[in-house]
Amino acid sequence: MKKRTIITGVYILTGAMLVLVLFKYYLFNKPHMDVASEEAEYTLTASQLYNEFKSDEQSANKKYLDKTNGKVIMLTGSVSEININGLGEINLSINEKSMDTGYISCSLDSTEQEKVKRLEVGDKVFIKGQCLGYIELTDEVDLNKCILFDKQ
Amino acid sequence: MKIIFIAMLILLCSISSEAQEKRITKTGHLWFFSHTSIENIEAHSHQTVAVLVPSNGKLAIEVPILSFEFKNALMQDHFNENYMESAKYPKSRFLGTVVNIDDIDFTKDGTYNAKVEGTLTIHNISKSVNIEGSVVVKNGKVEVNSKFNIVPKDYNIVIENRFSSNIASSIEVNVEITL
Repeated sequence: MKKRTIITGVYILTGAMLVLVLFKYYLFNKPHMDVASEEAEYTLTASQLYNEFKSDEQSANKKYLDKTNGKVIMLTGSVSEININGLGEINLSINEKSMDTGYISCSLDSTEQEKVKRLEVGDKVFIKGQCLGYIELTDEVDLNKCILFDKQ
Repeated sequence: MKIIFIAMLILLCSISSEAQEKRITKTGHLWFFSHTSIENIEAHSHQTVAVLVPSNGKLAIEVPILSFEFKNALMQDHFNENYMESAKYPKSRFLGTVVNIDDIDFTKDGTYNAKVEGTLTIHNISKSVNIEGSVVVKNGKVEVNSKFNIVPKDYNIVIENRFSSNIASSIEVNVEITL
């Protein structure tokens, strides 16, 4: 009887420890946000997004930013600038007529290099990315980890 | 006649002020380190925006806080949620002047020292700062580098006791922008 209790105790203890170790392991290896597998919370045009931040930045922050990350959104618009820096990082500017000098600045995911080669200024694109907020200095709304889709 | 003259003068002034050369980058690199005996932590943003006006030395830098990437996603969450309150204060900004701008010859390749004065805003708290850095002019490109330290406490960022030996009380910030 006593022996059985001890064995059960050992089993429970080992189990609990295993759960704890796995939990720690999970926390330490929590994956980063993967835009590709996330569902876009909002689908809108570049000028709609831009105008929301331009007219009321605080409420746009509330709508598009979460505590630990930006919300994933799907955007349409045309490419006004393609920048590739020395490290191979790609940044696209998305602009529409009604946005005046403002634009959406999209930092692309490194998986998108091949698609960018076929891209030209003026192309209409669908772009999915994490919203980071508005930058006054250059009058832009920032997205990162962006993924490109051809216009259907 | 007088009106035409004034109108022309205004036009001329507006043209000359527009012609003032601005150097801009949208993909500047800003990163920070925390060194302690227990662990080293670093995070990088490649979406730092910077504007430099060589004629008067005005320098502005802005970075979306959510663009900082940590190796450990949980640390990144903690940084955004507990320390920076990124949803509430989504960006940090520096507005200032390169005070010794006249010492920098943007037409001649070379490495120049830069003394920068201005206001640094982090976590919605603004502090005046003096920062030293270097400006490298090479083939028409301008690279601005700087390394300085900030104390999170100065910006109302409270690090809980249980993390006080994991996170340095002074954080090293690095700026590397090519304009």
